[in-house]
Order: sequence, then structure tokens, then C-alpha cells
Amino acid sequence: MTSATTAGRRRWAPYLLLAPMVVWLLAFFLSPLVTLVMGSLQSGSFQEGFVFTFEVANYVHVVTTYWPWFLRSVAFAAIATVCALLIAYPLAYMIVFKSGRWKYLLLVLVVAPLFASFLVRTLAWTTILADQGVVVGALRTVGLLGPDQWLLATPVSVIAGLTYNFLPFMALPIFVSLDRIDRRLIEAAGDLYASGFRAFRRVTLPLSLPGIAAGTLLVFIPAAGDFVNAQLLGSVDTQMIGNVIDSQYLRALDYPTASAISVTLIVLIIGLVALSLRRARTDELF
Amino acid sequence: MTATEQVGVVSSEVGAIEGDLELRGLVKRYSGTTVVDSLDLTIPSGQLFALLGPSGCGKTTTLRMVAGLEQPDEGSILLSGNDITQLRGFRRPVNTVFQSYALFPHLTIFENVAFGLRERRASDIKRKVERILETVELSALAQRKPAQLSGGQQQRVALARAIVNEPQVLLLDEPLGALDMKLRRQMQYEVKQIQSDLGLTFLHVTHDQEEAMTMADKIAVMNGGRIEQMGAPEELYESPRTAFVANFLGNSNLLPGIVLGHESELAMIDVAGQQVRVPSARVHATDQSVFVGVRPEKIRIARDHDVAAAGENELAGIVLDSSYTGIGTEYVVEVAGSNETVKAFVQNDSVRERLAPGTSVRLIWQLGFTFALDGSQDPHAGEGTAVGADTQHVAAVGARGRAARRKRR
Repeated sequence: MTSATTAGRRRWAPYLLLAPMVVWLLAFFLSPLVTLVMGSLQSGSFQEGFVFTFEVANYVHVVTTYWPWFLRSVAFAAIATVCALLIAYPLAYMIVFKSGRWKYLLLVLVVAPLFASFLVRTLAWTTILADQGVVVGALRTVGLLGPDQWLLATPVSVIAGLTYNFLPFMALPIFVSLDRIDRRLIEAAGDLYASGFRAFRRVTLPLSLPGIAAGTLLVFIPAAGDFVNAQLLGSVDTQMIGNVIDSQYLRALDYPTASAISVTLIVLIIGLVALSLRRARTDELF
Repeated sequence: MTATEQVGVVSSEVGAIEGDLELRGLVKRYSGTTVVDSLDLTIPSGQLFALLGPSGCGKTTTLRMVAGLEQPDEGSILLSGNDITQLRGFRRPVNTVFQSYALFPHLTIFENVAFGLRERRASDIKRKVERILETVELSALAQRKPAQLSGGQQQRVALARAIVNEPQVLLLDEPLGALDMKLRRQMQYEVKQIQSDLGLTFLHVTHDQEEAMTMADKIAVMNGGRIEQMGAPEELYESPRTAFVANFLGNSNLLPGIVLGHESELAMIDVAGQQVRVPSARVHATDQSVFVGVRPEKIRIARDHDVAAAGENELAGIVLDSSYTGIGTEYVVEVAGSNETVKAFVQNDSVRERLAPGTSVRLIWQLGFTFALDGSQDPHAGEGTAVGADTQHVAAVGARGRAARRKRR
């Protein structure tokens, strides 16, 4: 083999290795995205057909009409993310630092619900939170819930469903980042006069921030676009933007509006994520 | 000082000097295995004290108990006369330089060094940190993260981070283990320098016998959770009390012998039918059966015209083998009338012929270099466990040769 062909191969090898991913991205990410954006700028109706008219008015219509749904989606997703963080962090912390040889069994148990279908798990919650169910009964007994109050079809049940369904995606990255922390760093903090809590605050917590950031993204993004939880556990008053997209596409058959909502949601989420990441980076993240 | 702190510190001794560290009957067991076995040790204030031993001898566990990272099963730890055994680690006025350095990766060098000061809400943090960074010559790197520093620089940060708190005792857990030879030598010198400048008590844990000998004021040799022998480096090297110490610190020839009797402060010992004299003070045996010891570099190999003086021992033998090591020649000599061999290291400091195997020679050395150990122990204890800079060679070369080698470098 001549050196020229070897050099040629060398030059092309990276591109060849990249090719499958580029093709995949073009086929399954970029082209649907372009179609979606194009679709959102069309006008017309399902019966008469849609034409591309660069209809920017679609967006004005979407934002002015559906802003409460956007707001509710972001609020529900944000609250669910915070709840998931508050549950997942102590959970992951205990599994990493306190569970000893049960560590990996417990980790499997955290992921175990994912083996069951998303839909089935959410449906199960309708039973758990039912008016005659254990949770409502218990809350009524302690007096947290009046006899004429319930959980199902309230924002509480929707947020609970979101929190439950996305919990593993918060717990796993936090587990990984905590597990990676060199225990000797925590010992060193203690050696330098930091109490258990102070060592957590100044060493463990900052070093697990990448896990928190990853978990927050993995929970917030899908939760903001979710419609199953609001559909099954909520009511008309707790509908999220995902439900609107669902009904516009499949029932109203208003493709341009549905597309415009989707694009707006994407932009909104990217904006929020970029904003929060920029704030996080100015903190102690490395 | 908080209330709990005052409860934890119970003054139990009057007149103890500030900074004295005392370990009393310390015991630590891990699932049935006794790692540290009723250890008693007093480290006077202002000393650089080395705990030396092979891995698994309990030296690191001892250090971790002093730091408060492990709780002893029995015994107590006293610092400046106060019992700190029950005191939580973060309340103890001690700091550790960890073997892995354990620098906080998310904090700058400045913040790493300031960590302990901030936890104690010290005043003047900026000035103190800047001054200590100047001492370790890292001022220019104050705003870097630990990952951007070389191993030697990280080591100095770890040292600065501990020293800046002015602890009563500084604990060093194999702090130079990860550095290469040249840097380690330099750091040995620097650490020693900083210690004598600050006058702090240093407890240095190491398995490197050469490092312990060059740095420490006093060494305790540990083996199997106990202290085999404690003393100044010269004392340990010149007058070991056990076979383990004799072999772990350098090389020793240990020959089985029988004590025949004592004559004017000298023990007369029979070694393979020949007589050897050992100063009575250097006989560390109760029984008649002993091992007679002498370091290879103390031995002179004599031919016909060379006669032993009054203050010298003499053993006849036959050269079995020799190896040339540059600055010296190492001979293996079989003691006449036995299968025992003696290693003798002869410095190549004059022109002389290398002796061929089979040559009859006499081994001559001064009485004061001879020692006798209890005959019931394993004469090979501690052999091959010593780790350090090409230990075998150094051990054979001994003190004289080491000085020469350093000069060449």
C-alpha cells in the first residue's frame, strides 16, 4: 500500500465514523424539525388543504390564546422537578453513602418502575389517589383533607404523577455524581474542621451539582411537554400544553396551530434551560 | 470554643507540654484482626516523628485514629495533656496531609488553603493564605484549580492547606509516596525545613526507610500492630534490638551463636567454632542462644598481612561470590566451619584486586558495630519488606555509600 492512500484513509476515517450519526440526525431530528417549522407557517384547513403562506400570525394566535397552558406546563414541570429533586437527592445520597452492600439492589429498585409501561403506571395512580383510596382516606383522617375535598383531577395529582414518573431520571444522574465523589475529600473536609453538615454543604453538594443539573434537564424537559399525566390524573382545569397539542393535532386537525405550539414550546424550553445553565455555571460548577 | 468542645476536652494531666501527643494502650481491630495492638507512644512537642513499617503494619490506622477518622477500640489519645479520644475529628486541633492529597477539585488553590480557616471563622484569612502560599512558592497559582497543577505542586498545596491552620500536630500520611525520586528528595528537604521553621509537631507515616532516616528526629519501627523499636535514626541503624528492625532498616548479617559468658562488659559468643565479642550493652537477648549481627559495610576483608586490632572481631571464611556495584564490591563469604554466609560491602576507594571465589579471607570489624539479638526469632523477619529508593542497594551501601551517591546525583 502506498503512503498516499494511507494518508487518504486517515483523512476520511473520522468522517466515515461520523456518517451514521449525521445520517441519523438528518433523518430523525433535522428533517422532522424543518417539517414542523414549515408546517407551523402554513394556513388553510384540513378539508381544503394547507398551503405554505409564511403565516407568522399563527404564532401570535398561539401565544395570545394558549399562554395560560404554557404557563401551567412550565409551572407544573418546575414544581415536579423541584419535588423530584427533593425526593431523589436524599434517596441517592442514602443509596451511595449508607446502604452498604445493598447499594446496587436499591439502585435497581429505583429503576424498576420503568420496566412497566408509562401508561399503566400512571393509570395505577388513579387508583392510589382515588376518592375512596388509601391516600385520600389517610389525609382525611389526619385532617389535611376535608370530607368534601379530593386529590384526583387536581393540580396536586398531576404534579404527583409527573414527579413519580420522572423520578428515576433525577435519581440516576445524582447517584452517579455522588458515587464518583472521592470519600477522602469528605474526610479531608472533616480534617479541616468542617462538621458533617458543613462538609456536605461545601464539598459533597458542590461536587454533585453536575448530577443535579443533568437530572433537572432530564425531568423538566419531558415533564413540560407531557400530556399523559394531565390527561389521566387531571381535569379540564389542569390541562397542560401537551394536551392542547394532542387535541389540535388529533381532534381539531389544525396542523399549523399544533405545529406552532410545538415550536413555541421548544423555543421556550431551550430558553429556560439556557438561562438556568448560565446561572448555574456562575456558581461552583466546574 | 463551643460548649460541646469544652465537654469533649477533659484535662487529665497537669504539666503536659503544649503539643505533646501521647498514645496510651491503643487497640484497633477490624473483624477479628488486631491491626493496632496496645500501642504506647509519646511524641514530644516540636519533633518530626516517623512511624515506619511495611504496609499493613498498622501505621496508617494509628495516624487515622489520631486524626479522628477511626475510633480506637481501646486506649486513649492525649494531646497537650487533654484526652481527645472521644472528640470528633473536626474538633481536633490536628491536620492531615493525605497520601492522595485530597484537594477539593471544585475550589481554587486559594480556597483550598483557606478551607480550614473559613470553617474556624479565622480573622485575616486573605493575609494568612497569601503568606503560606508564598512559603510553598505557589502564589502565582492561587486562582488555579488543583487539576491544573503538577503532582509536586499539588503536594505543596496539601501541605499549605494543613499548615495554614497552625495545628498542634501535623499528620503526614505517606505524603511523598506519589512523587518521583528527584522531587521526593527535594520535598523531603522542604518539609523538614518547614517543620523546623514552624516548630510544629509532625507525625510522619511512611514505609520508606530512607525517607524516615533522612527526615525524622525520631523513628518508631512498627510491625504487626506493635512498635518494634523506637529511637533516633542512628540508634535504630547502629543498634537494632530485633531481627525485624535489623533487616528492615538496611541489611544485616545475622549469625546464630551461643553465649559462652561475660568478661569485663563483653559477651563472649561462639559462632561456628570461632569466638566473637559483643559489648554487653548491645546484647538484646535473655537466652544463651543468640544471633550475632553486623552490617555489611562495617566489615573489612583482610588478607594475610592485615591483623585484627584489640577492639576488633575476626571471623575466618572463604569467598563464595562477589558482585561489583560501582562504588563498592559486595562479597558473599562463607564462615569457616559452617554453612552460614556473611555479606560484606567493600568500598572501591583504593586500587585492589577483586578476590576470586575460593580465596581464604578474614572478616574484621570493630566490636562496637556488633550486636546480639534473641535467638528465638526469625532471622529473616523484615527482609524484602523494606521499600524505598532502590532499597537493596542502599541498604548494602549504608550510610557512607549513601552520602557518596547523593554527591554523584
